[in-house]
Amino acid sequence: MQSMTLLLAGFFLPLFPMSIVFNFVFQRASSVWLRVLLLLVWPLPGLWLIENGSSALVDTIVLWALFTSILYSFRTVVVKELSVWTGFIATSAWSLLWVAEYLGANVDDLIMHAFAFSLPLVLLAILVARLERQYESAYVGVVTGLAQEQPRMTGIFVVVMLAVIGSPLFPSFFSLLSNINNVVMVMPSIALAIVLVWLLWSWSGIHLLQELVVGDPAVIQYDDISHSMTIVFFVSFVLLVAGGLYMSEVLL
Amino acid sequence: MSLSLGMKAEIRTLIFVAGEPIPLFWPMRSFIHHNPLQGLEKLSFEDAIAEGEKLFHGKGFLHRSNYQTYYNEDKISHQSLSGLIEKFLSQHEPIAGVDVHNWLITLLTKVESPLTSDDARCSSSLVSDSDIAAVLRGEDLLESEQLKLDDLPEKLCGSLLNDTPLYETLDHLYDTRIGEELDELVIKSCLNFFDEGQSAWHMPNRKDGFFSAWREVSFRNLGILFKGRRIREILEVSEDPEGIIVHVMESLNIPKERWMRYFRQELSRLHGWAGFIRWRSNARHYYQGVQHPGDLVDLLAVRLTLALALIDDRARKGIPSNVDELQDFVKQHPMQACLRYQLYSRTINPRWAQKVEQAILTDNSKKIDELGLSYMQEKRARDATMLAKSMRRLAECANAEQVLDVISDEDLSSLLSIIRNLRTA
Repeated sequence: MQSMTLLLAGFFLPLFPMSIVFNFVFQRASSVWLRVLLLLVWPLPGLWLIENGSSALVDTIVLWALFTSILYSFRTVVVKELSVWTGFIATSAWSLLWVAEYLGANVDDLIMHAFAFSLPLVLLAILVARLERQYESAYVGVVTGLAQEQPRMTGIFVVVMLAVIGSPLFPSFFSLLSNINNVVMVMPSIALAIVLVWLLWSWSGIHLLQELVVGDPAVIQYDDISHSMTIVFFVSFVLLVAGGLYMSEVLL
Repeated sequence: MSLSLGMKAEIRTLIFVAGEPIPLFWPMRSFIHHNPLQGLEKLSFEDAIAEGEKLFHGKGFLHRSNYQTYYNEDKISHQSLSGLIEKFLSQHEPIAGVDVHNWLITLLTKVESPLTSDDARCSSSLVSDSDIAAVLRGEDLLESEQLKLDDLPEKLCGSLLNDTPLYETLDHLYDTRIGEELDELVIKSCLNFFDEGQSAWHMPNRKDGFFSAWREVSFRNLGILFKGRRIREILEVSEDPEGIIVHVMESLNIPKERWMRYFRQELSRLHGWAGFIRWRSNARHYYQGVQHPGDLVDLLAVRLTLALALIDDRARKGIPSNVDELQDFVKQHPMQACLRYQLYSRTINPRWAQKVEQAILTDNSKKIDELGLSYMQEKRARDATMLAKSMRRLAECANAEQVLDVISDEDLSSLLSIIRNLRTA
């Protein structure tokens, strides 16, 4: 029964190969709001399942979760389709929730960790959907030169990407940092694995940004993001940073 | 490799002629002007612009909207534009019931982007006039002429392999980015050698000339050795730049009749450096030139050595390493080559990019061919629809909406042909 619960949790806090299910569903979700919902809700049943499991997690599960996280972060390096990239990052990030649970985080902290990863991804999913509407796809390299064409959108995109890859002050930064901080003295290999995942996210994220932002813009000119939407995103960033600072108080 | 004196002289002559269109560039202390078309002055203005666009990857004319603004501000007179169109139309048969002069004036002065595409490679040319006619009549495109892909390999080989350096084609087909890396390495090499006292630590043996000094350093330059692992092997073939050039061209299997054009393309990639080195080698009293000699032959030997080393490095992963292998690949896998070209030269319909990339990564010829055919069909339909839409818009601007409803296929084809010719006229 315990194994079945963990196996089921492996679908929601993705463990490879069960992680394929989330990515399959996410990539086929054509509506942006469905994607947003998936990003916000998908890990929660997993958290509930592992919190209500009777015994503590075994080492094998944590190693499996780290393997999944590293595998998907490696895959992000070669992916150019931003919606696929978003799904892979979500998979890689949620796998790390197993590590947080293993390190003794309570359910409130786990939910905070989950939202720390999910909220920036939600903003990214909204921007990606906008790109898909304009260019028919968000394949970086074919869609390029965004800075010249849509400077406001580009600025927002850069900040969202920094939030997703765990840059300082954003919640994902403090989530990763607290995991590393909790484990570095007792199990440095796990800390090293998390650092590797973090490095790969940053590498792939910045690489995608570079290809998306600079280069020759498209022949057809599209409208930039509206001023009101820019303000909404700006407020979101302020809230994210405030959330990050709150997390630093609670977790570190 | 030891070349005869005659062969060396022939190589030097080819490079001298190849470098002629590259404008001289000298160390300007204060910038006055620089005419990039100086080396093309013997050509007519239009030909020089066209050649300059090809060589220097620039835009020979202002953006279309600039001219339309000038026209609206009467800086371009209607009479002169009208006169030029009349002259152009005198070479074409009139089309019954269509005021072609009015259509062309409208096209030039009111339509923001041209109707037809420049890119004749791969699928763009698959859209036929009958496809556009079918869309205008509201018929299903599939009922008209089916795709003819038999001539795709020939068309691709012709357009991809004739006029560009091999690594540029590889970059377009395999996303190898050799061109960028090569330019960086050549710029670093030039900066090291042509330094005029700006750096504290000079390149050794500069008095021996550009290629000799660079060759000596390259045997132990880890930065270069790491990127092109075969560079030592290549440099050991000859101590002379001419010997290296011949070795590289033979290794890449470039036919000898194409060498001059190939050299010109290579020199024009970094035409600022090439222009400076060309000026420097001819300025007999230029102190730095006398002390540290270097000419276009040296530059080309450095560039080709690095290019071959980088190509060989990538070829270890299974990509073609010379023109013959590349031609074989294109002939055996024309659809894959076409899809690769579209994807990596960033001309693909973005909606297909992910699917095409995945298919290419599977390396399954059957799957790639099927996907390619679907892609071509959809692109053909999409392009035909867009062209038909543009024609409708043009007709509206020219106050001749009804013409497209009654025009025959032959007349539509003639009209499209005139519009296409206008782009090249």
